[in-house]
This record gives sequence, structure tokens and C-alpha cells, in this order.
Amino acid sequence: MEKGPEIGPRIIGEIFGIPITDTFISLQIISLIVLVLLFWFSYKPREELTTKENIVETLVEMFKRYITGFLPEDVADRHLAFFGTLFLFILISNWSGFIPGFTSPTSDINVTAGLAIGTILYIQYVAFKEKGIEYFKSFISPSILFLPINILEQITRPVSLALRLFGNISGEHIVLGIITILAPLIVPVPIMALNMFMGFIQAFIFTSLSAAYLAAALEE
Amino acid sequence: MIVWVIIVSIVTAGFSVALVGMNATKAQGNAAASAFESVARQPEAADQINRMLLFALAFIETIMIFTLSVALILLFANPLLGKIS
Repeated sequence: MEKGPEIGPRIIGEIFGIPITDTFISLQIISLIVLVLLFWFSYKPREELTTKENIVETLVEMFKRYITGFLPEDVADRHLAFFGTLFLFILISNWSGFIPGFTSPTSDINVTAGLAIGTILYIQYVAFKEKGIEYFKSFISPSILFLPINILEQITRPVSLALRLFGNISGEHIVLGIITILAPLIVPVPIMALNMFMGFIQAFIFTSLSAAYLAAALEE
Repeated sequence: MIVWVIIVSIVTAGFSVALVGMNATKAQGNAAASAFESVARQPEAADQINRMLLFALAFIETIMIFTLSVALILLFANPLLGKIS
């Protein structure tokens, strides 16, 4: 064994003095893939649907039914695009680690932190837009003494979201790397199948937790 | 001195992951077992129980992941090594 499994993003180049990592490049490629995929999926509503459009519609309906379990019907309708894009992006990011030469962008803590902070800011914005100044009353809801605890809760949410996604995906990669060092031939295949399932579950949990946070912000 | 820091870091990382794995899997098993019991008793509430179970497992998992992050920092990016040398 010459070298253990590497963890974290690797710097592979530099543009204008800014270091470029491999996760950065795969992040851009995956964003492009998601964009192209969504354009390919989209269609104008009409009477006769092709097979592809039927499949897409079924999947979207399933996802919408799941999101409606957390949010009221009208709110879920309005923010379905956000949660759908989030889910699709995280799912493809998690699974992209299986393509040789790619590194999962979600195994870089900067990406997951960006996703989590963006999600939480979006939730705050939506809650403020829906409820106006009333929303800030929820920070001092039982009494003014609870203000620090409520603010702390808002801060720990993105931290736990980011660390959960990063830790799961990165931990899977480390386990896979160690198994590959020990037995490189057939043995990693079941572990890879398990990782594929876990990547799906993690994308699901990220999306449903943000939906639940939005529901909590709107309810208070 | 630096050898001792490395030894202690490795032992701590291993033990922390082992301990949290033991207890968190026990907790997850408990949660899953009670969820299955309630689904068997009330099959019509399966959807909601499923969703709540997913949440509970995710929150238990978070503690595990926090410990894993600490262990990874100790193993791969130990800040104490820079302070001593």
C-alpha cells in the first residue's frame, strides 16, 4: 500500500490565481446535465402523450404527492420546482461518483454548505414573503427569552443539513476506497450498490427536511 | 511527542466511531422496531409512520455523521500536529 485513500477535493489547476478543484469541474458538468435533462423532460400539455412524457408525469406526480405530505397543497404547488430541482441535482451529484474520472460534488463540504445555506435563505425569504413582518414574531414566540434559542435553531439547521450530506457521501467514498485497496476485484460491487441506494436516500432526506423546515417556518 | 499525538489521534478516532456506531445503530434499531410494530398494528397509518421513521433515522444518523467528521479531522487534517512542530 503506497498511499491511503485521499479525502477532500484535489486541486488540479489554476485560473487567474484561483485554484480549480475536480469537484468544481464535475459540479459545472452536473449543473449542465441537470439543465439539459430538465429541458429534455419538459413538454407542452396536450391530449396525446408519448411514453417518455407519461413516465415523467408519473414521476413528478409521485414527487408532488410526497411533498404534499409535508406542506399544504397550494404551497407545495408553488415550490415544487425548487424542491424538484434540489432533489434531482443532489441525486445526480451523488450518483456521479460512480462515473470513472468524476468526483461527487457532494463529497466536497463547500458544495453541501452552499446548498444548505441557499436552501435555508430561500426558506426564510419565502416565509417572510408569505407572512410579512409577522414572521419575525415567531422568533420571540413564547417570550423574548427564547430569542437566542430560536436563532441558534436557525443556525444549526444548515450546519446539520450540510454535514449530513457531506459526511454520508464522503464516508461512502472512504469505505469504497478502503475496500478497493483490500480487495479490488469483485468485492466492491455490493458496496457500490449500497452506496447507490444511500445516495438516493440522502437526496430524499435533504429535500424532505427542507420541505419540513419550510412547513415549520410557515406554521409558526 | 509528535508520535504520541498521532497515536492518541488514531486511537481516539477509532474508538469514537466504534462507540457511536454501536449506540446509534442500537437507537436506529429501536426506532425501526417500534415503527414496524405500529405499522403491523395500524396498516392504514403506514405512510405517515414511514415518513416519521425516515426523519427519526436521519436525525439519529446526524450524530453519527458529526462523530465521523471529528474522526476524519483527527485522521486527515489534524490541527494539533501543526501546533507542536
